Amino acid sequence: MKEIQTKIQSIPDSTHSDDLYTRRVYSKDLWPRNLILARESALPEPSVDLVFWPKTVAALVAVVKLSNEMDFEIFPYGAGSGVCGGATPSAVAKRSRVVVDLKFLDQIESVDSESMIAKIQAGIIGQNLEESLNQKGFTMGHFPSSIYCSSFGGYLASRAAGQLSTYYGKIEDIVLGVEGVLPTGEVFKTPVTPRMAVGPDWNQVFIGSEGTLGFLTSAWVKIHPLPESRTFLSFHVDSTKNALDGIRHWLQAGLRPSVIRLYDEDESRMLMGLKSGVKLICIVEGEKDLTDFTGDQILKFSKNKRNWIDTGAEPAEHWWAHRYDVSYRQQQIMSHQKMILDTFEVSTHWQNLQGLYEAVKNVVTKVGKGQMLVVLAHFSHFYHTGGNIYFSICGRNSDEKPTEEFYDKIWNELLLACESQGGAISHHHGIGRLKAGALKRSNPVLFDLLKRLKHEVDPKNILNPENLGL
Amino acid sequence: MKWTQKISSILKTWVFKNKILKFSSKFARDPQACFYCPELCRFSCPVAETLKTNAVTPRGKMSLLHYREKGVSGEQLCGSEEEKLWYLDQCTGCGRCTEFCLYEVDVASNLQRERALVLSSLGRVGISGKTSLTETLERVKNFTGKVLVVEQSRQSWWKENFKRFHKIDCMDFVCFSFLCEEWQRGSADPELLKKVGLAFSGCSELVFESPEMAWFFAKALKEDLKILKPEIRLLWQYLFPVFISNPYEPDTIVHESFHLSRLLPRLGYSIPMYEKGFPPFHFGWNSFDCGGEGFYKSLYPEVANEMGERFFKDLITDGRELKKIVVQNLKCKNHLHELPLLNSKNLEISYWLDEVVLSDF
Repeated sequence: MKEIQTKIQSIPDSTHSDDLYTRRVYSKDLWPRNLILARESALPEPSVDLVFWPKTVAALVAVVKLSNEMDFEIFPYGAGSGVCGGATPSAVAKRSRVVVDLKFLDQIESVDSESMIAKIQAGIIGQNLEESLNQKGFTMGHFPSSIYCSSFGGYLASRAAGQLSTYYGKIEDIVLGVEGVLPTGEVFKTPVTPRMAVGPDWNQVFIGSEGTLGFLTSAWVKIHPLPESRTFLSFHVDSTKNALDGIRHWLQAGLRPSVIRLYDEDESRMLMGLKSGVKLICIVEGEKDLTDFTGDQILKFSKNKRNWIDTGAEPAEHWWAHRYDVSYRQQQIMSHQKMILDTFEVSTHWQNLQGLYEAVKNVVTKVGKGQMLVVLAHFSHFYHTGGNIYFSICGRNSDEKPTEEFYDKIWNELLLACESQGGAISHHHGIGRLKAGALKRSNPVLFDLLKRLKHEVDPKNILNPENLGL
Repeated sequence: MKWTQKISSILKTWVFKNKILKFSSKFARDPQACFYCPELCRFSCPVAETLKTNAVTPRGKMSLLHYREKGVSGEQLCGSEEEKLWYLDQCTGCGRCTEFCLYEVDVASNLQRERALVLSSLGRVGISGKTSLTETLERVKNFTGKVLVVEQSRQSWWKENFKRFHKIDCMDFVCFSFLCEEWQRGSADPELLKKVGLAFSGCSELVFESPEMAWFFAKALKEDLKILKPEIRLLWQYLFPVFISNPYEPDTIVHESFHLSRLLPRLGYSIPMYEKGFPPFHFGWNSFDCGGEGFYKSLYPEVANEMGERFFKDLITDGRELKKIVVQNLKCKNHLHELPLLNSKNLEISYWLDEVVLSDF
């Protein structure tokens, strides 16, 4: 490692650290399994040897080329807010490991207010990005609940979705082109046009590759004027099924509210205090006439349904004011020994939604005697053809076995339940190390193709090895 | 279509709300909360935003406290107590992490106390007695009424202008710029702090020119040590109407550098202008406070200057053509004057009191 450090030291426009505590911090991201291990195990040794911060793309290229020359592993790092272990190297290492933190690449490089395109560097924190665009009168429209603690590069790598995605689109709809560095050190840029027919779409190869096919250093994104108007609506509906029928009708009629959130019976009761039925909130934003029209259509629809009650703006306004607060429950729950908490976000077509919902909820029957498991659900992203289900899983291990084994067992059951219904095992959190086995299992032919692609672009497998199962 | 319902037990709901959604130990609440937090306050920390390392974000630093509570020593965690202190020292004491925390965890005070603990274990608490401090305390002991506490470096200005502030009704003024930074870092001698608190306790009310000093008296002496009796006010409170009626040019920006005094309402003080939303109170890096003017500057001047320049770049990328910055903290004025980038722009940096038209007051 000494030799590597000496070489790294000489890379201009960069800093690095091999301090023990810094290496500990960079040995993990926000994968709940890490938190369980930190809570219940002895202090582990750091799994990385050095942290490197390039301040320019040239410095990044230099460290990538060096890793090929000296055969050490490199791990891209943004804010470290991933929850699937995508930035968490495993404990055992055969080669030296260097984490490459991209947070110095944090600029909005350009804003074209005529074409409504901005070029943004990967290391910027989501909230800083949005606030900077807002000051210029624009929004990117990407509001993940992790916006305060996640980076733009993380959105690209994990193929993220924001809370307002039904209106503004997911990250792959927002991005027009990406720029990055391949695992062998070549700089690449995908074409940036409104649309093209020039072979496969390279953007879709790199977006969601979770730091396995290259470093993404910046991207061109669509921007929008700040919304002229925002309408808040909420409804009490007698059942999840009837509420979903209504939402499907809106989406298939072409309505595009920015937020639709439906909480199932359990979540409505346990977290919102409803005695029966479900809570549905809806927010419409954008140009005023369009907003008014969409809001009116939704209200008209609800008035014609016997089992829908208009509960006014307040619940939606309350959600809006607290839309990034939910994570606090994580802290409270995770502070208890033996407790596990995680989220599982899946998606499928309207026709399969019920089966997928039931299969995952039924995992509660698979836990052992004395073990506790609660599976709550809400539906928060919708499409013409289907939607996503966001499960919150909270459990308690009463076994003598380590809690991480209970965690792994629950996850295995969750993934099998989803696969049995043909659902996507991730809607927007990604695969990481958590779901790598299920990714391979669910589509062996395409997984093999991905593996071959990885080998072509990264013959020495130096870039984030093991992530996605590669 | 039948949707499964698996959680119908009232008991389970009660257990969930009343047991699981509570911290396991109320005493460990703060570091524990931060350790398990996805870190919503990350971007509010000027040091983390400048150094770009996750190890010095508010969560990164608070995790050191959590590990200490779990019995992990600084040596095991960081290699040595000295190394641990380096991480804890990556804090300007600006308090924006506390201000921003959605769950009201007082991150800044936790870090301050931990620094004091580590510095004490390393035998680095206490400063050599300054003669001027002793003299000041002797003089203060004789005060009984409402007293104005002003910046040491403006002594001559105050000698000349004190009478113009007759509406505030202070019997006298005293220059006091001691111990605040040492307390924020955690190196102040508790005995000396007590002496200061006792010396001022004969006064009925203290009005502070420096908001940072007001916070030091309110938090360190009154709240934590419970040694100070008089009420605390800010001079800014009295002059706020005059200040906002001042006709500022459009290319002037008022630099909000209230420092930790922004947190005074948390101690129960009524500070009306904090509620009025002027100057604009953003949270996070884009707020008008780089935090680099205090004790951090004496420890890490280069990083402090980088923080100042980043703050300034943020201002100008907003598309503003700045000619003048009005600051509300003298140390901030001095800090901005030292930044090469600002000097190259030929900016005027002015102190708020010099902007207030006192004849109207």
